[in-house]
Amino acid sequence: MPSAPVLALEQVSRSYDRGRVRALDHVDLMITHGERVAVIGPSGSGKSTLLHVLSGLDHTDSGVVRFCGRVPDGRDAWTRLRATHIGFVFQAFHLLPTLSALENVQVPMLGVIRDAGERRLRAQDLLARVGLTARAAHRPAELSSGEKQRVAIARALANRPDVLLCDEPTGNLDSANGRAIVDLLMELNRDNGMTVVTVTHNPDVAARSDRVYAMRDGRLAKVAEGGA
Amino acid sequence: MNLARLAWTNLLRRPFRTVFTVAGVAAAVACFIALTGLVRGLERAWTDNLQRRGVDVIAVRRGAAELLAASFEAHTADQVRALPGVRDVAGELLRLVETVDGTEFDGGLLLVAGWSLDGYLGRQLRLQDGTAVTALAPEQALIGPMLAAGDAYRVGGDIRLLNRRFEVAGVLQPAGVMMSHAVIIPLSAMQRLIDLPGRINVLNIALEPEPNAWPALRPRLEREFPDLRFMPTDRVAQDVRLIRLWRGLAWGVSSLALVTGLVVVWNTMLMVVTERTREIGVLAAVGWPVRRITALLTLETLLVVTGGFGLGVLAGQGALFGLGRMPALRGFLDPAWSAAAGMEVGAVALGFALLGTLYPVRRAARLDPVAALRQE
Repeated sequence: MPSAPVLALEQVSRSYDRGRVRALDHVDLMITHGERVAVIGPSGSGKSTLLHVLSGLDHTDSGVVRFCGRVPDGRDAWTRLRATHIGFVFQAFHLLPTLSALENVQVPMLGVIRDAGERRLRAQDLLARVGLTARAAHRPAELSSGEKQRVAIARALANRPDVLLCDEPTGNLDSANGRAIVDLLMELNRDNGMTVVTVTHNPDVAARSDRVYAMRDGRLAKVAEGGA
Repeated sequence: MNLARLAWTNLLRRPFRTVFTVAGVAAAVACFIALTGLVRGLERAWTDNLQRRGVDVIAVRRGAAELLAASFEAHTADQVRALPGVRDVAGELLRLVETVDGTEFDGGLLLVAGWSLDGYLGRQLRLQDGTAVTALAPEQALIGPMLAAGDAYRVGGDIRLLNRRFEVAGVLQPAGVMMSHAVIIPLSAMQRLIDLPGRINVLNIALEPEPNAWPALRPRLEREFPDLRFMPTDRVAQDVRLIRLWRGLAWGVSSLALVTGLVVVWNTMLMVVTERTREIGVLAAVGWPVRRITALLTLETLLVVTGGFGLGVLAGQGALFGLGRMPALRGFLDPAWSAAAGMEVGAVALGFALLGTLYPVRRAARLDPVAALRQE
């Protein structure tokens, strides 16, 4: 019996520029707990919009988005979900430039974990996990692209989310750093049972996913199932 | 790390913007405090001077905008003294005189007072150096202690008033800022000096120590002396038109400075919010609710305004101290910092700054996170 979907899209559409650009066109998708899902496709096909809609960062024009069977009620509900259940990793990292790596990782914990000491300890643990203990005090400008992405992943894991949504996490990295990031994502899935949805051009990510979808002109099609 | 620490860190790591914004607020607050403090100092110097002499009510010529310019008959003092409820009265002829003598006080203003030295004001005078007050000859003068502090004037030396030579016969004991820079000469000598024989321009009235002395006396004074205006000493600073004019001017100019400073804060916060829209998007993306984002940016404003206010208070007091020592103002005011006025200006600055911050912050925090993240 298949496990319950953690995220589901039902006939979701989203367009921009007064309807001239259709990013999502009646998309259906079901993602279950602990799955590794990859979405591939050319630039501008709607992959990032798919992730934005799945995380509530963007709204839909029509259709329904469910998290654990429920339709989150508005912006605040989605904000709460992102604070505790959904982690997001951006291609452009989006770290806060004035804060150190350790402080960046603590940012999502503010308002969720009350004790400052616990926040700091957890952030240190997460940085250790992504291999950045020695770089904890450095600000983003002092880090390499690979290090920035690892900080961004540690930040996405700050509140132990159920789902990790990654928007081209290896897109700005060289192949060695890219491979290390993919290994880390797979490890998180294997060790924590975390659901990982990755939008990618990286064939390695697709090859190591349970299911692979392709997006073209806002439409989603399954292309492979039962990866590594 | 907590919200306050995060706000503090954000400010510290943008040092130039923070320093200039704080400086803008500080300049506005300092201007406000210095200007209003000057006027308050002027008021305080007047009130203090009168109260030290035991004066309860003063009388000046009614309708005179510049009270030293209008005079009245000196014998009015005897008529007022005869009224029940009046303990004593002393007439006084005052003039502001520019010093033109090549000394360190050259170009400054002196308050020269002509007193009947055997009257009740004269009897109160105490000297730290010199002759007995009652033995003052017509061409002799008593000077305030600040005038005697330098090398310019000393007992036995000269002081020139309106190009007339007076011998310094004594130095007054310190008794308030106005008297410390004043010169006292006999009333008759003063009347000759400014060509107003038999005239005075201020009546200093001491009342009998009865609780209702002033309310009982006032109607009779106003009826019998319609050409005079009577003011209790604690109201003088508020009632003198010239001081009111100064006060209005100071409030006007300082309010403009304050508004300018606050517009700078508004503009800076608007720029900060616009520049940091993507950062706001990141905070929303990692699960920060609008209220926490608003709280962070508001806290930053709060820190900037509080810092600017603190520095402004210090700078304002420094400016006040410096202005009080300027030759043109020395002796006419006692620079006064008022904590209540400071708190008022602080509250106004904070209120306006927060008001100006909340709108752009709320607008940015309510942007779709994706739209905010796309901002360059």
